[in-house]
Amino acid sequence: MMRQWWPVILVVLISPFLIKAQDAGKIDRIALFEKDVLILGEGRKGPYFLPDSLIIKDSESVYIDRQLQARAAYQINYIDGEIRFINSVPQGAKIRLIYKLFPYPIRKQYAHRSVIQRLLGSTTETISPLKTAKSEGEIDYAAQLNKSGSITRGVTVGTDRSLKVNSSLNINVSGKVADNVEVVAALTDQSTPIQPEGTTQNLQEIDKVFVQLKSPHFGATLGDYNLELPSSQFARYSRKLQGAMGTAQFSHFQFTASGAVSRGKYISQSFSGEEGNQGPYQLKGDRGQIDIIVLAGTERVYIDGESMVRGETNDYVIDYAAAQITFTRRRLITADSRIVVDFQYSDEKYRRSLYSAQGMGEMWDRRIKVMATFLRESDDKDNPLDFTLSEERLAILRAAGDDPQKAIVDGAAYVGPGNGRYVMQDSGIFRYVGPDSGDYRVTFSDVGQDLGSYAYKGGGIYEYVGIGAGRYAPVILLPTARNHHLFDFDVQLQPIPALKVSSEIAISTLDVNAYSPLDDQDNQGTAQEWKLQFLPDTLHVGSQKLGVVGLSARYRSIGDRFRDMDRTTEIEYNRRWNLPETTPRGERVRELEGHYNPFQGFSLTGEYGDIKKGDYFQSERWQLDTGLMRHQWPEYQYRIEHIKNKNITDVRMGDWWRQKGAMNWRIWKLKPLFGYEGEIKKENWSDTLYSGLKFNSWTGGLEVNASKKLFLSARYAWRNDQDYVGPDQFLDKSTAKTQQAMLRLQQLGALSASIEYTHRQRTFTDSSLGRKDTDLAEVRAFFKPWKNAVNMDLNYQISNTATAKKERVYIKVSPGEGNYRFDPQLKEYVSDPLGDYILRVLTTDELVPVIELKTSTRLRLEPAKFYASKNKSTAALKSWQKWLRALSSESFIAIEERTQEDEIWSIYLLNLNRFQKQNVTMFGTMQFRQDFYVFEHNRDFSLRLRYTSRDEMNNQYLEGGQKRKEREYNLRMTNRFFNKWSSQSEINHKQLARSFFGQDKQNRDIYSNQIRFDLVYRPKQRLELALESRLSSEEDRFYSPATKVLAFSFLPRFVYSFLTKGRWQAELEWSRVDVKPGNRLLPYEMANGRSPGSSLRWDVRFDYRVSKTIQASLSYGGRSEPERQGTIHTGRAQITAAFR
Amino acid sequence: MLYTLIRERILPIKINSRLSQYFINNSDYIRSFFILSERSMFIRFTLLLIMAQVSLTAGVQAQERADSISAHFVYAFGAEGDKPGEFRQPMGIDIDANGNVYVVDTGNHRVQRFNNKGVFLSMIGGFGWSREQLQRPMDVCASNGLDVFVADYENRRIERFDKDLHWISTYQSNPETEEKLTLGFPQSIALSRHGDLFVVDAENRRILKLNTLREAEMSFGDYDWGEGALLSPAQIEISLDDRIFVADQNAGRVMVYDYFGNYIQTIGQGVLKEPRGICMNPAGSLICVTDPVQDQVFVFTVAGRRLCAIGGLGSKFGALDNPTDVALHKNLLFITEGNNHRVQVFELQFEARP
Repeated sequence: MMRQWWPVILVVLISPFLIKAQDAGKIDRIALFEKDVLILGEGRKGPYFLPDSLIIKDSESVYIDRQLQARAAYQINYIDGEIRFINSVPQGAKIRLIYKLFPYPIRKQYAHRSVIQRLLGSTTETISPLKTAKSEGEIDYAAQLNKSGSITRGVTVGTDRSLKVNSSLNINVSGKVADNVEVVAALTDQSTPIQPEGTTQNLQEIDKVFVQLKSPHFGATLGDYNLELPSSQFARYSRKLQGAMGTAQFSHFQFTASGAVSRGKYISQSFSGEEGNQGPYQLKGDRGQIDIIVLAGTERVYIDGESMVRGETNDYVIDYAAAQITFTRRRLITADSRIVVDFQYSDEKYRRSLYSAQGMGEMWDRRIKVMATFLRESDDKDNPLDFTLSEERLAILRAAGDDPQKAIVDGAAYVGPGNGRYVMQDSGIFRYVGPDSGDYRVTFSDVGQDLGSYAYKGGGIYEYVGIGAGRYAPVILLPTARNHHLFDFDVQLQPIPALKVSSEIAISTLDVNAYSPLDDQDNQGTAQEWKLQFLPDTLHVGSQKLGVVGLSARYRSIGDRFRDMDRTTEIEYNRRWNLPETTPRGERVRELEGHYNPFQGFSLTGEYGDIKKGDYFQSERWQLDTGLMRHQWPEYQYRIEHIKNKNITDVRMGDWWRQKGAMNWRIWKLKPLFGYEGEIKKENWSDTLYSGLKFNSWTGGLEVNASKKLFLSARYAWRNDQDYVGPDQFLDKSTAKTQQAMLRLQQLGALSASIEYTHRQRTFTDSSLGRKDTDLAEVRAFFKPWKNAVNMDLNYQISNTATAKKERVYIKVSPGEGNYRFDPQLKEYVSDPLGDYILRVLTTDELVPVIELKTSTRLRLEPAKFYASKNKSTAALKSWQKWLRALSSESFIAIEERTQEDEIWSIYLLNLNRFQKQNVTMFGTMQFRQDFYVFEHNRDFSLRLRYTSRDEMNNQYLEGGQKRKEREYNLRMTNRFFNKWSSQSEINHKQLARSFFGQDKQNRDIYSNQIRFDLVYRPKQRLELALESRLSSEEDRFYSPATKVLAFSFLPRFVYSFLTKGRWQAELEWSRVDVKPGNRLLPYEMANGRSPGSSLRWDVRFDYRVSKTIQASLSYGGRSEPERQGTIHTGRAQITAAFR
Repeated sequence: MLYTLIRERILPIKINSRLSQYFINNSDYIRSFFILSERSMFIRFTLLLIMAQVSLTAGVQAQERADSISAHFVYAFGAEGDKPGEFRQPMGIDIDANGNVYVVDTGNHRVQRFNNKGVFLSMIGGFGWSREQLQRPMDVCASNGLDVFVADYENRRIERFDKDLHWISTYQSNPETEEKLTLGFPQSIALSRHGDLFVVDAENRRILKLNTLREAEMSFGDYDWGEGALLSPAQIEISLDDRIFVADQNAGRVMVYDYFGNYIQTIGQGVLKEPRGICMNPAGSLICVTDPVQDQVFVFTVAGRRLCAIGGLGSKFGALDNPTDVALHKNLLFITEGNNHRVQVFELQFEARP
């Protein structure tokens, strides 16, 4: 009997253990899968050994003292379990690593077949059969790929437009496609809609394709990508490209190849800042032209040699379309600021193809490293993009050789009286006389500031301003096609760990005019560099450590004809050697550098070098640096350098001393700061002609770290500038005083705030220059007391900037494809979704200096949040508290003012009487909104009272200024009753006044009252029947008697839904507009843009889901309006197939 | 025969039962066990009962365990401030297919981009209403790998940037736009696989659909939407099978609509108090919802069954204070915290296939 029962007993007994065993397995799996390891730093870079090998690649997170480390900060050997850091990890610092392991033991090597073992003397061998993977073990990667996207095809047809086909494609794929091979792909051909303000990136600059394949050894990128080849000296290369790039990476070999269409042209621009002007600063093309588009993300910006970070909360912002850069309040710009911007700009003259290849190899236990780079940039000379190449022009280009000034054609063409816009005066000067009033059609080109004779006045009008006084000339510039090749070979030898020898040789060929064989003899050039380095090592005398010593020597020679493709010198290279603005390209540089760190934190560095630029220029320099950075010690850094140069051809002698130092010491919660910078620069051009400068700048400050919640700092800087006027004679030029203060509060109760303020005052000795003040401020505050029942934030900013004059240009397009139409009666372009014009806003280079204020504040009151309690029911509240819970409000104020007002403190302190003055304000706006809610979050009944006001003045446009004033009172009530009925009612009173100055447009002073009522009946969830009605009464009181408009509309609508399948929607709008007196012009702001008379609009739409992946939609609309002839019918059909 | 009966008739009923799986995986051993015991009818009947009971019990337990998810804190990044990598009241987060993490730093009026290890890469925004400036941005959508859409709340506009955060275009309503299609304050934004944008309009408490030409095409969830009317929509997410999930904050629930705005169902009622952030796994089987009032993130199946809750009030790692939004990349869950001004990353451990 017992025998028969034992299986039952066994099952009952083991069942809990089976379940338990699985739990235990889960814990083991988790424990095995992820490891958290703590290691202590040993004051060295590594290697630090981990307790595990075969770590899953890229699974690690590395922290040093709780600070997450960037991937570039360390190297990890996943196979052997070792980590090295780029910088030494301080002694005792906690290195925390979290990484993943495979949850099962893995050998380092696997063989597909068993190893054949041939025993000594044996004549037979055993080969194990090929093991095929089990089918159930195979991974279906295709099924695991995340795929989404769609393809859309649609047609639009209408009585006022021709048939238009709309199509778009979007594909997104990500995941593994094979073992160790991962793909991320995105593709779209969707276009960017026209912007109402007429500003958009050039569509060709928008990334539309991105495909990336990654595996442990190989990688490929297709589409839009950034190519960075930073490793070499002469073949450094960074470009935004469109094409394909492949990489292969093994332990001792690495290869990168790229074939692409280059999207831009590289240029580096250096300029000085202006006192009291944070920007915008105009970026220019290679000819000094300003009508360029900077390729987004290609810019690298430096101030005084320091790299800047883009962003309103960082150092600078950039308007790529206008090629203008503005510095933020965090970065004070003065006349002493040295600004360098490297960027690429769109140069759509020729299709430019780029090929690059770079291979790197290591051998002899990594003691020898070899790298070869090839770069080729070449314009397709047979297919220019934005101009036609006639035989005549081709002949001009062939004859031009390498001189671009010869590649021009006359921009003026005689077209006969009444056919042109310009006439030619006796002196050969062209004068604008208006459309169809002249006899010349003239094309002007931007030839660079002060190189032309004409200035642009807006509206397509150019005016003669004198030879060399303008930037435009009546010529057509013929761009030449260029071919540029560069080959670079770099070898590094490190026979012993302490010694490294490296050499680099580069050859370039540049043909600046591929059309012409002339001047080709100077196309090729070479460059070379040799380096000897004694790498930093500890110096021993017996067993005594005397610190770390390092030495290096460099020799660099560049031929006159060598041409690089990107920046190959450090930022401010000219300043480093005191090079003149224009020098020959060729140079020979010799440099020695040594450093000594006797103990941790203290360093001494010395440099000596000389440069020679042929027989034209030579300079020598030395530099000493010392610094101390050690915990709880006073910290300091000091540098002194001296440059002595000789300009051989014009016998100019230069002598430049530079010093810079800073020190601070943290004592308890205080940190006093001190800084000094000084320079003496003397240049003797002759016995009587001198140039140079001298300045001393002293800085003092104090930082107070009162607690984690409070931080204060204050700085004061004084600087005196002098001009060098004779032997050891300096004349005072200016004195500048800069004060900076900062306060930070972090969650001090319900308050968080930060205040930063900078004031600079520079007084010039020359009374004609006077005094220049700069103010930069930023205030942010957040206040959220009483359980967030009060929620307030404040933003306030002031800055000294400049504002560019703008020009509106309306471009004619096919009817229905624009968003503006020209109203001949109003003499202005008015917004119209079926219009035939689009707007482009052009920024001119006419910059007006202004002070800019921008502020906004928001206050939200929600008593319900205060009374919301987890432990307190609503019943416990008093009746007034319950009522208070039903109320809420929000207030919002925003003010912006860009003005030339002299009384700057009245602007800073928001004296609104000084705002929006016609003679000084460039742009100003003031907005206020007050919302008051009753039962804001209630579906059955909700009420909103709103008041809004907006005042705006705009003097930015060349066409003239405009003032606008709006006031609106609004009551909106939403109800739901009987479960099937709901409604929304609105009562609105509005006032709008617009006045124009300097242009021929009709002013407005409109008062309107409107009632809107929307009644909805929903007998079933899927069916909606609704009727909306509107009644409005408006008056334009600009006229006497006033223009009166009475308008009413009825809008029945019907919606029927098919759950998960689709829906029908139909809507009709009938409206009637009556005007008194009948002959008055009606501004488009009145009667909702409708003309007097009856209008009828209708729309029917059907959306249907054909299958899980296919959707279709059909729509038909029509409008019969008094301002249009006949009835306009528009139909659209669209089908979308989605992938998954 | 009994073995066949159990294997083919009973065990398949217990979906997700680990015991069933165990039975199938170890069938050779268990088959021999049953063959031995088939001699007795009594044993067969008893075994059937016991197995059914064990299977049911294990099924229930396994369901709890198997369908539940555990979350482990992995790392965090960010602290209060306005330097790169710091936040003030981050309100939104999204992750593209490449693993780039986009965080809406609302208090600093900007969007920051990080790699999936939390290392800062770039940013856009700053206070203001000009181009490339933002005013209280509330949400970001980077799902298509090429574009980044930002709901620029106070400026009443949708900003489109490329994946490196360079401005491309702006969408905002014209004064002529009809009332039903006017965009008020955009609170959240989601891109469907069809390329349509769905925007939460917090002012008008509805969802606005912008088609691929970025024309406002329809709205839903408004006061006229019957059962599907929204009270205070906070966040939106679209599944790959085209269902639209909207966190209705003050209603304490997640509303589900079909692609045409037809109301389908409600999730989380009774569990959620004020749901705000919302995200789904790529398979579309899980939905994660943040609840700032409970300081937790809840994970539900799409059918609405709660699987787990993460967090609880606190500032230590693993605890949450005002979790505002959530995003899922592979099995890593990124949570933004409004009051701790940081992003915490949790690893989800799936006990069984959901």
